[in-house]
Amino acid sequence: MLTNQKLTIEPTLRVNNLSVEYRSKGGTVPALRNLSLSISEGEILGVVGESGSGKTTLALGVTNLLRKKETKLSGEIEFLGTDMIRAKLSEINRLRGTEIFMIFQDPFLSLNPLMRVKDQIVEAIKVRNRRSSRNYTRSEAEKEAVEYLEDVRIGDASEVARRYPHQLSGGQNQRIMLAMALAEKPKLLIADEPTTALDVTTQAQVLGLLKEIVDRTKMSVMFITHDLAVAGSICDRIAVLYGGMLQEIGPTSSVLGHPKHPYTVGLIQSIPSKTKNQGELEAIQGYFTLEGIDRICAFAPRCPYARPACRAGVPSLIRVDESEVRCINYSQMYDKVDIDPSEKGAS
Amino acid sequence: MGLLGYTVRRAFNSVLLIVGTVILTFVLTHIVAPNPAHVWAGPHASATVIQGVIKRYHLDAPWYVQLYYYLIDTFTLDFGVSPYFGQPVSTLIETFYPRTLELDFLAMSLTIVIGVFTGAFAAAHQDRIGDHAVRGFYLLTWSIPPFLVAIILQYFLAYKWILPPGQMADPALALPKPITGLITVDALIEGNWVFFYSSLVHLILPVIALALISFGIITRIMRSSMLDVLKTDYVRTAIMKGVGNRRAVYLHALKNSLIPVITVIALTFAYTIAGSVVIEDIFSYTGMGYLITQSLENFDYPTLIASTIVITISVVVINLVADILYAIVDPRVRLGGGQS
Amino acid sequence: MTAVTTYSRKRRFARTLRRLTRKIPSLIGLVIAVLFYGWSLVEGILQLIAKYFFYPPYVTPKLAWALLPYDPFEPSFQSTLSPPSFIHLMGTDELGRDIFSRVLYAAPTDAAISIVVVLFGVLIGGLLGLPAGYFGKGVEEVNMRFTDLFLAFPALILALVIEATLGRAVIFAIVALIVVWWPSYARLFRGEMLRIKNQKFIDAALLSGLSDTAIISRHALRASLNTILSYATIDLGNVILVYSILSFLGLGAPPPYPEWGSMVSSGLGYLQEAWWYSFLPGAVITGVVIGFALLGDGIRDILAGEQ
Repeated sequence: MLTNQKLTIEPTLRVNNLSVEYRSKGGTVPALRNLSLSISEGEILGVVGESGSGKTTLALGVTNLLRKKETKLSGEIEFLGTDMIRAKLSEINRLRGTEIFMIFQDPFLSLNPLMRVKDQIVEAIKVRNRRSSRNYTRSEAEKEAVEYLEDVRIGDASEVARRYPHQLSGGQNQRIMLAMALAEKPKLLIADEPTTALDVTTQAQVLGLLKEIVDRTKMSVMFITHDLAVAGSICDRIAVLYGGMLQEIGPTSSVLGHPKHPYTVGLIQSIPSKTKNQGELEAIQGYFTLEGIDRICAFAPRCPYARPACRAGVPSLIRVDESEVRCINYSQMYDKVDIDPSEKGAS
Repeated sequence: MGLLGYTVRRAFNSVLLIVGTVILTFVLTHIVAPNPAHVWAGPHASATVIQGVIKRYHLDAPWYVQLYYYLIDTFTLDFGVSPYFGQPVSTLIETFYPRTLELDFLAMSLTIVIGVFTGAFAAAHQDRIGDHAVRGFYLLTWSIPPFLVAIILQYFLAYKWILPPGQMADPALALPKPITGLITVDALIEGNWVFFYSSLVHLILPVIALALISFGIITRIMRSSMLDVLKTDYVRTAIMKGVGNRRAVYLHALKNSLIPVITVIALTFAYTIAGSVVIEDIFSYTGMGYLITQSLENFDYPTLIASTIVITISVVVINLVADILYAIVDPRVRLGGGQS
Repeated sequence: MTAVTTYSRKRRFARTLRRLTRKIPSLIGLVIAVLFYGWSLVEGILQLIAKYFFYPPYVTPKLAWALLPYDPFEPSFQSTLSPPSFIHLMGTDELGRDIFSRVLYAAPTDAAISIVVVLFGVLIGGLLGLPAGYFGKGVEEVNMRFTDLFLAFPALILALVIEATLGRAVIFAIVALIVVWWPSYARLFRGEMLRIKNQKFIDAALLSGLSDTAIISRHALRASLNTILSYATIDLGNVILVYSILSFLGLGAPPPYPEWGSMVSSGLGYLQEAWWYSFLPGAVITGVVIGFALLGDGIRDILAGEQ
């Protein structure tokens, strides 16, 4: 049982029961546990969580970028009918670029410092053309690269194309990554905190641009962020991760408007703009701990509503209204819930 | 700023550095030396010779006058006459230095090839048997005295096998006319194939010995920079663009990890040239190392000092070349600006 | 210093030592280093007593080789150039002297040189490098330009020239080695200082009104020693290596005094008939240098984990 997608449409990406562990000297550290979600065509799914929640691991897992030696994977990742975990490297490489692409957090680190901007975009165009066995001359490809730069509204595109990444601003570099995405026209774009390193104004521009590109190209996006407000402004659906587990998933309006999980509630309360009229900003107490994580609710040690029952086992993900949530307060009958956290959060 | 401005600035710094090192040798030989006249003339010099030396180097004048003449002499390449060889020192260096440069540049090329290859290999096999083997090998070659490497090669490859144990070429052959001073090249120009072949064969062991003692510098830095680069997002971006792993590793990653290697080229040169003092001695290769060991043994101080100055200037110049190369490869240095 | 900090530092030292024994490479390094310095200490004391407290019949020059299998100076023409055996572990040289005894006899010189050179290198390097990194600007410019001047020379060649100028003796070899050794420490200390300067505890120390010298000597020095310690350990071996080259070129102690480098050099003439003469003293040098390299790597791994 996945989410509230129409079952007639096969999703672009289907992640089923994915678990990832990092090998370390003392043993293995779990990063993701039994995660299932899907993204359908043209949909933006926000993946929200704090650092260490496993969201970047999810992105690297989906793109098959995890180092095989250091990680242990189980479960399924199905992208356009291809098993991304067990497929041959050559097969995955055929999907990369044309079908799946990824944008990283730090724009200064995601472009090769030794190559001119246009050469890096042309490289992407070449890969696409080779696959569709189109024949392009170099100058045609360069002209196309400049067009993509104009599409992502970079001023003076032909000049910027000749520059090196370090000569441009963070916002410009991230736009160039988007231009690359335009050149590849993938079915799925993974964006790992693409606006975190940018200042607020630039962040809004890049987000608007991303939204526009998605509307135009119908690509699906997995948008990873720690910032619920950013996710709310762009995503169709939001998945909340904590301790490597999916805690809550549902349409944006439902997750933000009627949050079910105490962690989601805490996240909403710590968004400054939403609470500035209500006095104090509330931070979630405590720190993430791995202790007993496979036996109890991962959030229980920090949860203001935690009860002994929360430590009796790992709650299962269940459907509540439009969302699915993993919390003991919902897994029993509604009348047995002591406190309804959603009331406090939605006020 | 641009490449030209960068080059000019660097070149200016290098000139300052060269003047500084020459002054440092002056301080050592004229001021720190317990008795400069005896040092310059050698311990067995007669009173008349010492008088001559005092006059030649103005040792009875105030220090700034001495410095003035010292600088003039050095920068007009007038290093006096060698008491041991009985020839002008500049002629000696002109004869011997190109031979060492020939040896060292071959050794450096081999060093860089071995170093880059083993470093990249170790990084690609991080913490596996290949990595451990490479690291063990460079630990061994790093810790072994240069003379022992030379002796081992000589013992196993020359005495037990067919390679010549020493000298620059078959001594029965006449040296080619000095045109470039690089004897292999001169032999080629002259069309003297017999000598050319003989000198190449004689170069094999010293070149391997020098490369063995210095490749670890490159391996170590190549391995760590390759490990760093392989983890960067731009390599991931390249992979995600679908260029294929081979292009991502050998174009995007390798080129970026070579940058730190450029910075140690001058260090490698300094290391090989110091190593060739010992290596040439063992292989009886008559280059700069031979000149230095001979002048040490025979208290030929002017030759020793002049050799040191010439070698140091070359190290500074190679450093400059490496800096410029670095700027050509890395636009962040060449064009400046932006975040780094 | 309070009892508590002494106690915790002692415990930290013990813990580091214990962790060094856990990995085989660093254990090998530790064993080599302890054997080398332990032996050198004992043998060195005997040599000093024999030299300076000549008092027959209790103290004679013979005391210096009381612990050695043979007299390292006494020729024995019945057994010249005999190969390694249980009688002569490393064989004998052209005068029939036991090479193993000569190698053991020479150890204290190398031990003393390595410690003195590294100690002075760290001292001078710290004096120039720490202020350069801390104050920046003019101080940095002057100190580092001065350092670069020395770094421009190939180290070995500068050492040769210095010794040729001052005279051929062990003491001048030490001076020459110190002169070529300190610049790398100046660079290292400056780099460490730059790194440390950006950390919060220096800001805190500044705010609490500590003087610059106090901050450098108390906080920065201690913090940078973690990095310096592993470098210095590896360098103990490197000094022995470079000194062996000087000695190979005839710039060490004059014959008949045995030295590792000069033994290799005098064995060269007999390489074809007596390989052990050059190889075995050379192998001892290599072993000691590898030992310090392994130990230094081990220390770095442990201290890096603590930071």
